[in-house]
Amino acid sequence: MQIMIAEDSGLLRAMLMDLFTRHGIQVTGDAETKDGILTLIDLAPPDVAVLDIRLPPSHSDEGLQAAEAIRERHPDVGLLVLSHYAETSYAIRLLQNGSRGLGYLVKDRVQDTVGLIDAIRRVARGEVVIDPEVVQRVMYRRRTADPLERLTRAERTVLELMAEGLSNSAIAARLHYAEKTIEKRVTAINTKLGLPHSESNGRTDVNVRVLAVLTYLRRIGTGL
Amino acid sequence: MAAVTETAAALSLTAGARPLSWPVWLPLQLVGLSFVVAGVIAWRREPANATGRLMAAVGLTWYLGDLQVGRQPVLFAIGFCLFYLPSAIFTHLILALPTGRLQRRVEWAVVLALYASVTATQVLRYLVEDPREPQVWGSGRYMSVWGPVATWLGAVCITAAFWLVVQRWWVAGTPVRRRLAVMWSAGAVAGVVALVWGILGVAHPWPAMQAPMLLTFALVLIVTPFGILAGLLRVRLARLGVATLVMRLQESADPGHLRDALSDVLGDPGLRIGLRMEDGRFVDSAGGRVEVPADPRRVTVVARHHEHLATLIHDPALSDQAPLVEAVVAAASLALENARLLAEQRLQLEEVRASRARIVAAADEERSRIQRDLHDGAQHRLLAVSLMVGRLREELAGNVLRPEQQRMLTVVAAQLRDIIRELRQLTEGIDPPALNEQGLSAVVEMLAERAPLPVKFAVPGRRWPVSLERTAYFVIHEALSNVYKHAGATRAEVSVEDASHRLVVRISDDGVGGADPRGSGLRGLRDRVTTVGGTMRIDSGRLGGTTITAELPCKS
Repeated sequence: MQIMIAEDSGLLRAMLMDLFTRHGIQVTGDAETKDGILTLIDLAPPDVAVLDIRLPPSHSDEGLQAAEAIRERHPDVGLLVLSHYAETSYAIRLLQNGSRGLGYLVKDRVQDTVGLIDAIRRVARGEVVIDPEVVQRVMYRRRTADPLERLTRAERTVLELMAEGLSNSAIAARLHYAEKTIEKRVTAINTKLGLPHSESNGRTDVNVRVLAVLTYLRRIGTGL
Repeated sequence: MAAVTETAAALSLTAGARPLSWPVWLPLQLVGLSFVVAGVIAWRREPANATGRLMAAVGLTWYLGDLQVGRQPVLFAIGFCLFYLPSAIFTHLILALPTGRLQRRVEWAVVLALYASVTATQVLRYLVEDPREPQVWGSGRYMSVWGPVATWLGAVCITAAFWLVVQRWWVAGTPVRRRLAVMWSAGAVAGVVALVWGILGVAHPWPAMQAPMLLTFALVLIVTPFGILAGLLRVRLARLGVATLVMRLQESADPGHLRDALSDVLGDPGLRIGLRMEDGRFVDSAGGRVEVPADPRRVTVVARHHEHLATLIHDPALSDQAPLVEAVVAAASLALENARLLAEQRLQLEEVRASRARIVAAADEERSRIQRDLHDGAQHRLLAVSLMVGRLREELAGNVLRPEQQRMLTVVAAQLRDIIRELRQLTEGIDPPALNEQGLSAVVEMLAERAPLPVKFAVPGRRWPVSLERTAYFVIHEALSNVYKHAGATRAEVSVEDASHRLVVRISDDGVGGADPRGSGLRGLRDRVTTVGGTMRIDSGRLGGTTITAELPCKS
């Protein structure tokens, strides 16, 4: 698998490249700026682009802008954005970029080697990866009347994993349950919360489901 | 008095030998009297103004012509030679209005030329003509060539004088026009009548017309000096307006009304007041800058206790009315001083506000810089170190390390992870990164997500100027922190409304209420809000619940 990295801190970039190489991921390009990474990707699109959200010159959201540009020019390149903050609004903005191969991780996550490598592989496969911290924040924020209280503890865990971008089979594998059981729980959740029912084994549907779940979680109990 | 006696003597002198019929003769004789009376009144009212003397001079010389009646040779010579002198003095008078002094060289030139031509031509006629007939009531049969020459020279000079008056009218400002309208129109009518009469005299068309013409001429001239007098007294009336001014100034302390009041009493709608600030600048009552023109005729300095308070910028014509302007300035100086103090205070307040805004902006910039530095320095390095530790653990796992060392490495990794997370959360609080990129609604959502109690919110998705969004964020963040700490609330609500020219930010809770506006948190909030020119209200009763409403001005 081939990836490219955009990260303006030289030390961190070197450490990441070292980490990926050791785990059998080939780093075919690295850049410090948005324009730098766009040029490299135009020359030889990799499987996944790992993008720091803050890049020179303005250190604001150049990483997201790069992601949008890459998605437009090379729809097959998976995008993993490393954010400095667990920011729901950024995650949603990234998810609006299409239906597959998108990841939003808080930058701290790079310490979790296994999680990071797994996320890159999932994005390369076209799946959606949302940082658990983002999901936790949006799921367990305080609400006056919380519809999530209607869910059982097991259902809530499943909902969390749905929001993180896992497919039913992946959830089943993670929780050591049969896929049929997970499917039943998903149906129960959708019914209780009034979410749209959808088959979620296909790659495309995972993103739709993540967006639907996140949007739902974001909205309930927030408006005046 | 002497003048009146003299006039009466002249009248009685000619009364016996009048060459014209009564209805014409009497009005003609009254012209001189009218000028003398009006002149004496003006002289006594305005001793400094030469207009009165000039009018009296016109009146007295008017009767010189009557010296021809007696046929006494010396008196006849005087009466004959100086017959047209009053018309020259009259022209002098009209051109010298309203001060009685000629202002321009061209005016002097016209007046002197007229004096010279009316006397010289008559002297020449006296020497050349034989027999010498008295003026006006002579037959005109023995008139020499100097007669028409005199008429034409006079006509040219009077036309020139007429033109000068028109010119002055053209360039005069409103106050001058208003004041001189009566005088000039009286003079102009008299001038036109005289001119027509002179020209007809040269042409000698119908002798029958002479009587009615003379009558008209006389009637117009009788009225004229009183027109001029009325004009002069108008200036005095304006001074009476000062009393009204004082009353108006007492009624209204609004510095904005001061200009209107001064403008009314001085009759200058374009009047401006430049209040002098300590740094030598001039501003109006609203604080706007005022440029003071260099032309000394357009400005009047107002001083009090030798301190330059203000400068009035007015029509140049008002410089002719120094006494009036002085009286107005004296009456208004206290009000002007007040206005100046107010303007200065306002200016200082503006400066204090601007400097506060700069301090806030500098503090914001500093927070942003600290956050950036933490980010690009410590956070990145810690992540790199954390990755190194991770690699070390992988490489050393199970081989070299004793279990105790293995445990220590695990603790190091865990500590690092915690430090990195804490640092991230700290920097998020210092300066919310999403504010610049995503706007107010995103950061309010962030605050709500991290809140320890349910926070509902309604924030429009649009963007505002950065400084405004920062202030709004600051208000919401601080107010929510207060709710979490002190209110004992079970829920809170945040709303941001886009009203016209202002942003209304409201944070309310269902807590215990009784918030202390003097507490450091709320005071800091109020400081921040007033810095951008906004207002803040705290509604917090004993019954519970607190609502903080901040209104922040925004231009768009």
